[in-house]
Amino acid sequence: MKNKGLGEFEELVLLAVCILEGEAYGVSVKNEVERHSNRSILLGAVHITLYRLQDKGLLESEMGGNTAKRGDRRKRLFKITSLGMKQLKSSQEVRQKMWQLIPGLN
Amino acid sequence: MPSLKDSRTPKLAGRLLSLLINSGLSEEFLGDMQEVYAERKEQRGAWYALFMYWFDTLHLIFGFYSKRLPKTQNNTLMIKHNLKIVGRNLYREASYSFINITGLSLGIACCIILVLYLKSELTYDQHFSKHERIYRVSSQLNSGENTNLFAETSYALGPLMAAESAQIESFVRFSMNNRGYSIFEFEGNTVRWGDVAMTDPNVFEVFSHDIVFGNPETALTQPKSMAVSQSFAQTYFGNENPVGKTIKGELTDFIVTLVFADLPDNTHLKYDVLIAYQELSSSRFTPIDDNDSRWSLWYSRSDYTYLLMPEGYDQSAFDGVSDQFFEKYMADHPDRYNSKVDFLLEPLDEIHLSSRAQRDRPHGNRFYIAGFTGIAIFVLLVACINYMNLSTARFSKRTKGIVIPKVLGAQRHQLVFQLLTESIVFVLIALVIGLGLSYVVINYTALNNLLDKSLPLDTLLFPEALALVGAGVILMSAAAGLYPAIALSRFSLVRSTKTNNTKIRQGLVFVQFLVSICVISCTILMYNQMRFVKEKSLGFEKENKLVLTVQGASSIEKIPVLINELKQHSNVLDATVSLNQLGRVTSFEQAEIENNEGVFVSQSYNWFYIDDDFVNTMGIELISGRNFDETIPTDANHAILVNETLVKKMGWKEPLGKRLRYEAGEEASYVVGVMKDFHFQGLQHEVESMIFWLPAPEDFNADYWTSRNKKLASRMLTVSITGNSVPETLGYIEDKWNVFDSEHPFEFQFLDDSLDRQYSADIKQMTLIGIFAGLCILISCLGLFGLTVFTIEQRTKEIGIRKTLGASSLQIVGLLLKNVFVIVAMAAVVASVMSYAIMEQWLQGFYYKDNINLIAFVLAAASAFVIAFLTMSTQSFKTAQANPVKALRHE
Repeated sequence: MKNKGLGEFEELVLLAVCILEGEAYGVSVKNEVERHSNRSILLGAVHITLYRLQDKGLLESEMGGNTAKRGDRRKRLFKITSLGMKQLKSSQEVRQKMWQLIPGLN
Repeated sequence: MPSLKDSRTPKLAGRLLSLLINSGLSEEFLGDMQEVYAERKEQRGAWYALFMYWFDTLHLIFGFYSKRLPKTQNNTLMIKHNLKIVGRNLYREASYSFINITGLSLGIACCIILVLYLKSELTYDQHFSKHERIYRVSSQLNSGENTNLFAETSYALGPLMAAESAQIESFVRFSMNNRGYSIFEFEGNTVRWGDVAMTDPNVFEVFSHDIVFGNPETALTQPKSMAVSQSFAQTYFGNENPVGKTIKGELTDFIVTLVFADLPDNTHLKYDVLIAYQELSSSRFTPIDDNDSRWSLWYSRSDYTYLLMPEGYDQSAFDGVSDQFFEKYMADHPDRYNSKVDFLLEPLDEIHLSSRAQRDRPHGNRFYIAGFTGIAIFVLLVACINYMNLSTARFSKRTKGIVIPKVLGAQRHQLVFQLLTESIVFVLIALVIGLGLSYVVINYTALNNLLDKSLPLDTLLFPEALALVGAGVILMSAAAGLYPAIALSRFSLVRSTKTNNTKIRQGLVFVQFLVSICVISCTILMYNQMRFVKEKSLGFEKENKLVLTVQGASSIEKIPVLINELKQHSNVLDATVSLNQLGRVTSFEQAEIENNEGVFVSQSYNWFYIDDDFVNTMGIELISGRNFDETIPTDANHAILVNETLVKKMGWKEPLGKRLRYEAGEEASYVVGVMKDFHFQGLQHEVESMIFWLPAPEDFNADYWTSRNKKLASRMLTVSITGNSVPETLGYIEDKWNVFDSEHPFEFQFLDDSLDRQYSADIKQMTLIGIFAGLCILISCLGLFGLTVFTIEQRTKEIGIRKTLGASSLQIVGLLLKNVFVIVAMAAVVASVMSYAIMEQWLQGFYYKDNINLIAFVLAAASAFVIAFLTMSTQSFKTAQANPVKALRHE
């Protein structure tokens, strides 16, 4: 797979999955991203992104517990893979490096 | 705790999602969406949540469905190319596209709604899992040449008959509250319920219900227990489990033991409350073969009796059971009453459309089923024709687009495929719009009221329907697209331009107008008949009659006092008391009546209790004899008034003094007067023979009733008032009423209103047909408009040349309109004949009918002409008056 780097929204979703640590599924990720970024996000967009990240091998998932609140349906819980963590870190590093190059900031 | 109702997400969207996305994914999506739905509903309201739910559904479907489409195959490339061309054409010929799609989606929406309606009508009572094995017993009285079929049977019939035949697995009786309503109270919340039935404890075993709370096996085994519908439970208890709670009835308290899900609309026997039969006397519960039950087997028909038969039961075998039963329990019937009784089985799911029994719940009408099916097909037909018409017209304009690919080496099937793609895309767009349209119409218009039922759109999502829709799309695209596709792609390279399939298009316009004119004239004729029915003299004065229900024995006793006080007012003319309201319920019985030769013969008739003021108050004419006279003591229970029909039926030369008795040796009653016939039922029915009795004065005495009946007894009080200052008179009567009976509120009806309600079903159907007639015409007009525009465009050059050669504008318009007018005239003639035949069928349903007025056909044809003219004229005049130079430069 080519290393294409992460889109901005993808990065937010990845970060949210990390924060939620084992509790990450559609709704919780949506809420987490909304809380931190202060913007409203479509559920469908979250799902599509989660699956795209999984296709890229940055996330892995398994089916989790069901609750009455969901009409007895199971949820898919996402976890970050080591590749995902590496990508996240590398994109963080890229930014860090570039920040440091802005003249007059340091 | 989230209650049951909050978590109910839109079903249709959910099913759509699980249908289009593989199940592994849809489970988590649906779960997530449900969570978000509940949250949004709480924060921003139900509407927002609903909208967003749909939005998310579509978003996910598009997001995950498209991902699985292969992208690189050659075929898909071709499809993509075709789609692109379709898109360009759609845009370039926007007005054609608009007309085309609008017409087709209107047609589809109509069709969807009608299919839902038909589905509901044709699946009556099939929601009971044992419906194929359940039969209703009806009783048929044969006396002489008269046969009368009744839906109700005696309470004793079920148990006695079940003991008689081993094939009867079990029986269930429903005893409906004859008064029409019951009142139940819980913690100050008092509500009136219409459909209350007493029933046997095994009801849930025979009739499958969805149980919400409670145990169906034991629910109705104890006296004073009641099973209620979910909406009943919600009215008093919200979403809580009400099992074990006590509800106050009018006579006694009941314990709620079970909650069942509301019955669907398409069931012939509706109830919100079921009360344990054990509440009634034990003889009623397990009757024995004694005189009482034998008498009641015919004379007290109070229950609907249903039998559960074994699988594959042969209905004709029941004749033997019926005869055997009659021999055993009713053998004295032929001698004593000169009649025989047969018991017949009616399959449960056929009762709604096939039963002819009297004294039944409202029935459906096969005529309307056939009519609506016809209309559904017609509307769709008209829409399809439109579509074909416009498509052929459009395609033939596009010959260049077809010839050039051909020159460049395109295969014929590729061209056909391209045109078909366009057709399919149009049909699909129309399908989506049509679905949306029908959704809006069903949920946000008064249509449900008009149909008397709610049509849940998601019942469409059963496999057969989806297959049907799929087949429909293919068929419609093929019908509309195939002909032009093949015809056009066949064009030889040379003969490329001016071919138009005028003949076929004219034929299609003919069919459209045929259907439209037919529907218009039927609507006019139906309207005529309804007006005839409303205005026909009924033989009594129905205007300005106030009908009040007096309840409770103590109030009934005081009625004479009330009447006296009411009459003090100058606007109150008269008042009369009767057992039932005229035109509502009559009781049916038979007795022996003396004929011309002095011999007693058996005769059946309707009977009615009235008082001596009845004739005056209702304005009924006596043609011979006298009215009842309360000062003659023998009048009560022994004098009778009869109507003309009975006199004719008996062939009496001198009716006065003729005698009537129930059994030989009994003291006879005698005729004192004859009333001119009046219509006491709707005009669908013939006036039947009728006998009026004067009840004995002690009937007004409160001691007469048993304590049980005291509260439930009721009488109808009909007050005749003048037409002057009605509100003031009503106020006066209300004041007096409140003094008279503080317990029951002042509730009244005008007699003419309640009589008109007998035709409400017919009026509703008429309105519906009217709406569809409008749609038919609208769709036809759209087509005609499109065609006109097209024709004119094609003939622009011709028109220009004619004008330069000296033709006037009018001549040109005439030229353009002539063809269509000939077609409309032909359609009008054929349509008139067709609708005449249809309306004759419809009028069979009325005993009293207006003549078919031929003006209706003229009117319908004329309106078709006007509509056709208006549709075409603007375009035609515009072209005719245009500067010919422009026309000649055309192309």
